[in-house]
Amino acid sequence: MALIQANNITKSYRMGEQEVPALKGLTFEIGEGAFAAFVGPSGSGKSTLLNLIGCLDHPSSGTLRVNGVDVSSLSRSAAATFRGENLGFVFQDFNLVPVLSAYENIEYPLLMVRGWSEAKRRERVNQMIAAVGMTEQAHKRPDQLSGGQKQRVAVARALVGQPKLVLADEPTANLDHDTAYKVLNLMKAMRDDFGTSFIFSTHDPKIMHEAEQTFTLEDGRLTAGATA
Amino acid sequence: MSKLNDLENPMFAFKNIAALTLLMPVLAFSAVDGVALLKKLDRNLEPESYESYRKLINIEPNGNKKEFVLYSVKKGKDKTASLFLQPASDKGRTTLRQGDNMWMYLPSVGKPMRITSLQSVTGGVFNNADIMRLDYAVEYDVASVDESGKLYTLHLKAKTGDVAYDKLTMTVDKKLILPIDIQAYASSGMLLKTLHFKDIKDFGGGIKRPATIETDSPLYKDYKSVMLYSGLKKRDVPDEVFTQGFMARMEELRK
Amino acid sequence: MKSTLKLAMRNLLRYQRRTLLTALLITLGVVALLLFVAAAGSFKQTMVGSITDSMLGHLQVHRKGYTASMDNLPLTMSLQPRAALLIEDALKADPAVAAYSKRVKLGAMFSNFTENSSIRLNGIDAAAEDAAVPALRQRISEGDKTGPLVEPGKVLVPALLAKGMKVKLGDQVVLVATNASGSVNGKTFTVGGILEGITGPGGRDGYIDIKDARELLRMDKEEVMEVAVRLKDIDQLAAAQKRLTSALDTIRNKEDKPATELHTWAQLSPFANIVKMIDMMTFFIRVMLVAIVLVSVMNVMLMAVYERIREIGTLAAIGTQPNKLMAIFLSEGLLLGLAGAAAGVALSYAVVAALNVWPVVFNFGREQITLHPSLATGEVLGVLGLAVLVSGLASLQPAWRAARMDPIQALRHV
Repeated sequence: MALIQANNITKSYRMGEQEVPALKGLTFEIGEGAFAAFVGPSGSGKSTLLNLIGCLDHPSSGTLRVNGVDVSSLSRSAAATFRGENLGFVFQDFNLVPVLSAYENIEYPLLMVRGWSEAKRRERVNQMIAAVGMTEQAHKRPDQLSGGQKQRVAVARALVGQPKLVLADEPTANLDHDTAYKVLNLMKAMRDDFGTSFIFSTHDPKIMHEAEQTFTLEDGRLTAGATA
Repeated sequence: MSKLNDLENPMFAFKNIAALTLLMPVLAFSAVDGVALLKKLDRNLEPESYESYRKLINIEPNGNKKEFVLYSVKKGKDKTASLFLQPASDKGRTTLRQGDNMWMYLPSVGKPMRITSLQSVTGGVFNNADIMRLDYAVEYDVASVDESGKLYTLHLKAKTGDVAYDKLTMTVDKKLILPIDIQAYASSGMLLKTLHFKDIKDFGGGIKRPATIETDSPLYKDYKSVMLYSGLKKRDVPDEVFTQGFMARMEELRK
Repeated sequence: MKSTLKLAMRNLLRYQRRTLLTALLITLGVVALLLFVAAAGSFKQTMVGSITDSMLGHLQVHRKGYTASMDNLPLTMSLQPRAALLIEDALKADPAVAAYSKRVKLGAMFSNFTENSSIRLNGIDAAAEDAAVPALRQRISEGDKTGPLVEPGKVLVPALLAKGMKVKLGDQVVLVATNASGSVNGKTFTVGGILEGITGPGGRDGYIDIKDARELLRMDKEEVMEVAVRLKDIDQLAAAQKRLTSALDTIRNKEDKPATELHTWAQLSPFANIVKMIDMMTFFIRVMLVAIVLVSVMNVMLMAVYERIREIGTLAAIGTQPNKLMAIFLSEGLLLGLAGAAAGVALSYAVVAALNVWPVVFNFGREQITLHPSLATGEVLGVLGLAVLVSGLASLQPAWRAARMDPIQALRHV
């Protein structure tokens, strides 16, 4: 069974009196270990789709299954639990907690979401820190790290709980060319090592080039299907 | 000839001046000598030097009565002394007044104590100035006299600040030259008490005067005090009587 | 839990100046309240102690109707010997009563032979009075402070009167009293001591031996105007009042109505109103503290939530439960309140300790009062708890907002 199964999902927003359709019926599948990109102009619905898959929002209609679970109508609390156990997020602006060190930021999901024991956490976090090559900077705070370093920490955080899927909304938008390339390669390596699927939304051609699958959205519809 | 108005008419002036001249002696006679009147009133009440027996009754709002019997002597203008005869518990108590100074003597204490005129050795509405009274003419000036029908009304002002009452308004029987009532005022104009003189009695020796003085005060609502004279006689006693040293011996005067 | 608190601590320390300022505000509020309570408490205790231990006693018994005319010192409303004995029995039977003193109260003329003035007198049994109001002898400014309070033939003269009448220790004076019958009786006395006045009615009374008082009033029976009662423990007051009132209720007059009345010191002294006023002021200062804590903590927490909207969105996105988010912000507010209040408590203890080493003295009426402030542990814990509770309440709304935030909207926030 595919990791993600979307069947005719739609999403509309109410803007005052008007109903604005953002997604107009999408049907697709994404398997495990994918390295996929959603591309399209702004307003095409990329972020909306990512939010739906990320269980941050519900589709207006249609069914959406992630890791076998129907996430179309999860409660706030159940959605949070689901996200905590199955998903990871990487953000354009890194979104690290400023008062925590790199180590503590990576530790956060295990500590505050999953409630793991001290020993288990320490082992895992150190593993991730090493995996993203930030062992020397583990004690530093975000404001002491470069953009690339921060994103690497973010990637570690996203993967620390061994999610099935990592969602990244424009993850390289705030990075320079070389760093972006390094981060992308890191993510691919993580996919290779841990089998985690990565889905990006982007209009960066570099990422599109690196993606193994591309979904093009235009005006709320998929214009082209998966391209292997 | 046009009619002259009165003031220009010499006849008018002449007529009126003549009338005034004729009336002058009459008017002069009617301008009452207040001081002389007051002096006469004092002498009608008591001889200048006398002895008296009085009963003082203090009546409380609930009807309770407290009675005292006093024997008093006065000499000259400003010396008077009293001895308590009743009740038995007060027997032997004496008071002395020399001018503005007053003392009280208690046998149990053995030495005279100074007291003031506004205090009261008996309680009730009479105070020490009322009980040990000097001549009105000695303590008061006559500010004015009004006359009407059967009464004179004398308006008296205290001669000094030591006098108990700043002003008195006295209504006097024109024929008898005796007081009918007296209203006593403080300097602020507040009424302190009213004295009513009643029951004219002949005490002998030419003394015919009210035997009863009742008094009430807005400051002691529903309290009343009554002074009843039962004996009043001219008497001259030695000056020595009016000294602090004699206060313990007052009883000797009654032998 | 520990991790939530650690996070709260880190976030508070992130904006040091803001945290410090807010905590300082809370500290000041706590200090103001605790110092006021300590000082006012000391003041109340001293004054109440002074009044009950050196003048009124804790309770007083009179004939019914006496207290209504108390100011006039009526002679017609005294307790007859039989009633007095029954009162004594009731007092002896009550376990809370430590001592009692029977008093004859009268107004008299006080003369030094050249001038006179009026004086309010208490005729007392020296030993009984000493037991009922043990601090009375401390008011003796001149005279034998260790011997009996009064002796027959001697009078304890209030200081103000002694000064006005220019009498000293050992002088001869006369006391003249009007009896119930209206007659007057006087007796010479020697000034046995000068008594410092205290505030309130009765504070300018003189004292003579009860036998002398009865002689002055020509009382042939052992009548009594007032019985002053001292309890073993003033905290027993309410209970003792209840018990004694019902015990005394059995003493009846001819119409079979209660013949006596019992009052506590508070009902007889206007100072009780000052006590009420002080307690009310304490209440208002407490309210102000609550307001300060509420406003400052809520203000800071609203700011904190607003500043971290994107962070909240992130934490929510990566799976943090709403009630965990709420806990994070609630902890911050609570910690802030706790820190401020704890500092306030520490500072208060320090100031109170200092005040006990360098005491503050001030005048109240004609008395000199030295403050001995102290902080009751219960009060301190109460204030601490209040500050923390209010901090929590103040953080509730901001924390709830954080918890209910839509992650998508939050993540879009600048």
